[in-house]
Amino acid sequence: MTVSKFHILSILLIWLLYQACSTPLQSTVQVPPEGEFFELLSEYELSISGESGFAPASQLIKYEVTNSLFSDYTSKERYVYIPEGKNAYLRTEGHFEWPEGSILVKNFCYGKEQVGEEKIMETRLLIKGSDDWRAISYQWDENYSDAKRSKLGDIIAMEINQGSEKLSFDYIIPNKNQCKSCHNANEKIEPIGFKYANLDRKINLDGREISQVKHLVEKGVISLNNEIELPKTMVAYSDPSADIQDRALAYLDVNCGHCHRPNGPGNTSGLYLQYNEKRSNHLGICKPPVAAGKGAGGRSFDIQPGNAEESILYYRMLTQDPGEMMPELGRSLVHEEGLKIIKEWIESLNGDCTSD
Amino acid sequence: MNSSTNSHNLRTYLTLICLLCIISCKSDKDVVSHEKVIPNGYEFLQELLIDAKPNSTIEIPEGLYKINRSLSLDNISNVTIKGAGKDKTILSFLEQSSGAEGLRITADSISLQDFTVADASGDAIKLQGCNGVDIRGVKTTWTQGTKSTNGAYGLYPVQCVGVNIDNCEAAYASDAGIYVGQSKDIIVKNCYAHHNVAGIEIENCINSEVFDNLSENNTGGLLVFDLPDLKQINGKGCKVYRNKIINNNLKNFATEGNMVAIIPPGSGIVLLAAKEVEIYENEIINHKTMGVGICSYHITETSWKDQRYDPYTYDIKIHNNTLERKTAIPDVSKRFGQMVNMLFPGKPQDILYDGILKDDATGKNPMNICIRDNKSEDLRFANIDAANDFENVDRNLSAYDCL
Repeated sequence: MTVSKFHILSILLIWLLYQACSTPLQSTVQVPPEGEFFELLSEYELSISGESGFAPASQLIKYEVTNSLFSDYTSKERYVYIPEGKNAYLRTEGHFEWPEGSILVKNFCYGKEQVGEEKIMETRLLIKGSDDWRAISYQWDENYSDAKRSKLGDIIAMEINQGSEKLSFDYIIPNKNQCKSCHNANEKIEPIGFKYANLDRKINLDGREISQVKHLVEKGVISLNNEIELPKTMVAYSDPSADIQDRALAYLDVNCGHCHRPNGPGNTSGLYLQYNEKRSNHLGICKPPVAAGKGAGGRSFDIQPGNAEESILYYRMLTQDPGEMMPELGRSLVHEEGLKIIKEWIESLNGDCTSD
Repeated sequence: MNSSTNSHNLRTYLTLICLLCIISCKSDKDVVSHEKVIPNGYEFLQELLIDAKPNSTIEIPEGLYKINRSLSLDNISNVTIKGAGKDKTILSFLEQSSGAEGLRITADSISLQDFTVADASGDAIKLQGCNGVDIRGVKTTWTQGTKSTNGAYGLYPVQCVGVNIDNCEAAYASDAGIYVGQSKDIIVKNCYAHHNVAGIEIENCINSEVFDNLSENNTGGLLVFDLPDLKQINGKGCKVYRNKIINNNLKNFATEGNMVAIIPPGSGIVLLAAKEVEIYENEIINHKTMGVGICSYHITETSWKDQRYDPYTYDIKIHNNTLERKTAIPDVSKRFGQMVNMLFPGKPQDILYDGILKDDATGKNPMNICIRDNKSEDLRFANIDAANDFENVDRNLSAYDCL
């Protein structure tokens, strides 16, 4: 009996000593071996242990994007982790070349006014291996003590307050394969939002307004290259003072352009929705659908200039049928604010689609 | 005594009603069922698909799997997905609430065998960018009848290289049952396509062979199309032979706006901006509008901006086919059908050529359309001179007697 008590005490003592020595003031972000994921989010040590919810470790740098994909009215918190002494350098087309071991972290959240509490729906990670990125989502437990890898995704019945409305819908956590449905360039996983045109903005840091690009350079996250011409900065689609075409293209770029680009999976249609796309046919103006099926909604062209209601692009943003709607994944609700911008833009366009 | 006779009569009456119902329902609805129902089909199958090892086989035991989200296999090569038979292993997407297709494959050397995909919210099986596709004994269908809300395509390989589709069945697609798009080196054989808008469609493809298929009761039996503004355009090289293309007179139930919505019911084979197509030894039977249509993209009356695009149909050989028309009035529901009716009131045509030529074309047969040795009682051919408001409709085949 006494022996056993002594044992327990000594084990406890060893454990306490171990804890005291092994808990550094600063956590160390852990990157799983090539091709693998940790089962629990806590294993990455991206979040300070012992805290409820996501408390970013000191090595994470918070960043913002000017325009964000609509995800059923979630707000998103974004962080980047880059291995000590490395950085991501700008490539010619405005994306970055990342060092192995980089991690992009994104929390999908609803706020108090929406659901009565601060709720994290999921935390998604993009992890850079030696060649490729890999992507996965972590789903939090009820107490926000940790989040578990979600291989198969999930459907969560939600009710949120949005403006004066109460919206009921299924919030969908993607499965492992579905991450690549959006994060896809030439059939390889790539970050979407983290690109120069979408990062070049003012941010508020400790009460000061500063350039985010400058901040990220100073923090050693990114490096620019004098020889590369800096890409055109995107306007915020929500900025009513900006040109309506710029706003619409900024919206389409972040909500559709990840698939609808020449090296994305939406290239089967020939519809390319990039901020810098100039060709009217590839923007969908007077372009007949290719494989839209019922998604065409009885309309003849992707964009009928001057008439949003008669445009397939508008229809597919408006519908909630999974076999018709765009984007194919990532929303269950209709983004009314986005819809308004697209409508205003289409109605500002001139021309007709009759063949000469 | 009396009551027993009454009940006997009632029973006969009910049996008759039931029989009638079965007969009438069977003609325009498909039924899939299995006594064993697996409720969590998504969880069961998606886990197998994510954990699949290269060079492995995923066996799906018999049963009806209820699936509520898209299934996908990504970037794991040389995987075989095998059911117990298309009537035994049924993936039912009737309760699908998320995802634009039933099964999505983005992996090389994929083999799909012996199962059915039913009621996908969008396309049934989409395979994109796959190098090596082998599909055998697979069925795609929708069970609510010929509805415009059915998914567009049944079997849908796009941007693939090396596609083999053998002994498959595709039904009730609101666009094409079997649709191969922007792909290379394709074989479609021994398949059965029915109750689709288009039975089989080859679009923007290079080097395809379509043979020994049965395409019946669709709006159009077989289409070879080429469309502008796509990544792969100016498809060419398609052999269509030994197919039975029969009785494709179904109402066109495609959503307006889609290219296939222009197809008039009663179309056997339609070529649109097609190049190097050889059509031979087919039975093209019982169509009320046209057996074979040869068209330029101009006939769609839509414009394009793609400088690379060649909208004309040329280098076509149509020979040794058996053609029989349906005794009926050509379609009046579509502009194309109305045009046939206007030019040839009440008379279905065997081979219809829009006669639209390249600007610099000269000679009697500048687009090299060869039509010879087809079996038909009195072959009805017409070059309708569509570019000049049908001014010189020419019914003489002699200019096309070449091979």
